[in-house]
Amino acid sequence: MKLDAHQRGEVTAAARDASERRIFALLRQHYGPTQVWPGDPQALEVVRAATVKAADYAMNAERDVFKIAALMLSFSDDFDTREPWAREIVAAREGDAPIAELWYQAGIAEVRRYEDARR
Amino acid sequence: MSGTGNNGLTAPRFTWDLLNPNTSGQPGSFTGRAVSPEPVQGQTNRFSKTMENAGTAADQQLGDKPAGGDCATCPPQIILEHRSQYTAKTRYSEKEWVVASKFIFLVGKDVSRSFRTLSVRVASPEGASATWEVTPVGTHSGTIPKRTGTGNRFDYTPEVTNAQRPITASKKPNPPVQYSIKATITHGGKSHEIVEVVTQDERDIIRQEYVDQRMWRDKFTLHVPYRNHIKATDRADLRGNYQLILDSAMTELLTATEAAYGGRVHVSSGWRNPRRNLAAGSKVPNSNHQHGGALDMQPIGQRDMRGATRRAAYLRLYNAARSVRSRVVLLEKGPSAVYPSSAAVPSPTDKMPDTNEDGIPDAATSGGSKVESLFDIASHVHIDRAAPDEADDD
Repeated sequence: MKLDAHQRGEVTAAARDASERRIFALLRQHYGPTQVWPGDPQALEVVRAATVKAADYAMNAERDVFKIAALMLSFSDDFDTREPWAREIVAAREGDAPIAELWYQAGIAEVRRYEDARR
Repeated sequence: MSGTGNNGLTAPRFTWDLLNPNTSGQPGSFTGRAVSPEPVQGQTNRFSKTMENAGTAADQQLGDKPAGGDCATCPPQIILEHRSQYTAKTRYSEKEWVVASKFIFLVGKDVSRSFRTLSVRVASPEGASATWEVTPVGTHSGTIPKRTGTGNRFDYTPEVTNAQRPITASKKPNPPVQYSIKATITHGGKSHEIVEVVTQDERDIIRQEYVDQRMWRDKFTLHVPYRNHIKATDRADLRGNYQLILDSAMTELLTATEAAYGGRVHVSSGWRNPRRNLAAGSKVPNSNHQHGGALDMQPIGQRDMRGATRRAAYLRLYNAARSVRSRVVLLEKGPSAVYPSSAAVPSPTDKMPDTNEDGIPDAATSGGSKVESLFDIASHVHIDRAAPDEADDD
């Protein structure tokens, strides 16, 4: 089956929408009940911004976008340049190796450090 | 509190203040209650545990699927492809247009005396138009009279002079010819810039030497070699100025000679790239050493050999080389032959005895000199085979 340019555009737009919805739905399932949830419309914007940020770092897997979106919600939309632990990971990165998981684990460690300090 | 990210979003920013349970923060902010050690409002997990669970769920449910597809908010994936007259040949490339890492090219004048033209195009987004700017990297890459343009494709013609190219005697490798290509693409109402550098690989650096010499060296007529004749080797004594060697017949001649000789021989000179050939003091403009079709060989340990022992070793090597299919075998002292080309050395007979047992009759002469004395002064045995006709490659 051959698709013309318009049909291809519709297919890619549908794929993009489905992908964003998948990430958004899982994000809301886990972060929706927390205090970091900014509301659905803004969270969807965060997912889109996370997709762009992931692409800037040559990552495009949905799980990577999810984790970047979660860190943007939990820390800030520019956590990658603002947070020292995130900058260290960027500095130590080799080539285009995916770093979302490293960021995510470092973010969890940062939160846990605070939690432990408050016990 | 809100973050002030570069994309203008207002996602909350994590600060210790936000984590203070006595501050409420603005709606959507990450408050202390979220990470409080004590569960709140039915939340049984610490926030770090929530993050862990969410990460695991993302790995399991989302995985490696590409996000966004052709996401409207994402920068487009820009792919440039390149073309030269060599990528257009199926011998070298499966595709006419290739990405930079697979791009092979030469610069300078071809057999029609025209400077070679290189091309670049936007492969993705398909059909996109770009504003182009091509800049030579290093003086040795020449100049480009018309180095800017617009359109999906841009053709550029580097011009090089003998003053710009490294063409004199040297035992060091040449640097690669390189061009930095900047493409500015307008897509989705935004401007995107990509910079790519195309670089000659070692095979093309070697081939470029032949183009250079053909353009500017008197009487140098050797053609530009095929890429598939430029090979890796684990024999350092076959190398010129590069890790790779040009081997049109060299290994075949060496293997056959060693088989006939009955052991390994030392190669005192194997492939000489043109600049190394000059550095070696060769007076032969088209020496077949430059085409990987010639070898200078010595018996292993010949430096410690004297008299009849040395002559016998050289005779054995000379005869081994003569048994191999070749164009010529020469007994040489430096660059000069001391014995007639490929001529047989007479065997000892009762009438022409070999009292010192070097295999050469004591009384044998050639050109008025004793054959034994010619073997005494020999520095190597040269063997070569004519360079293949690959003229269509240039």
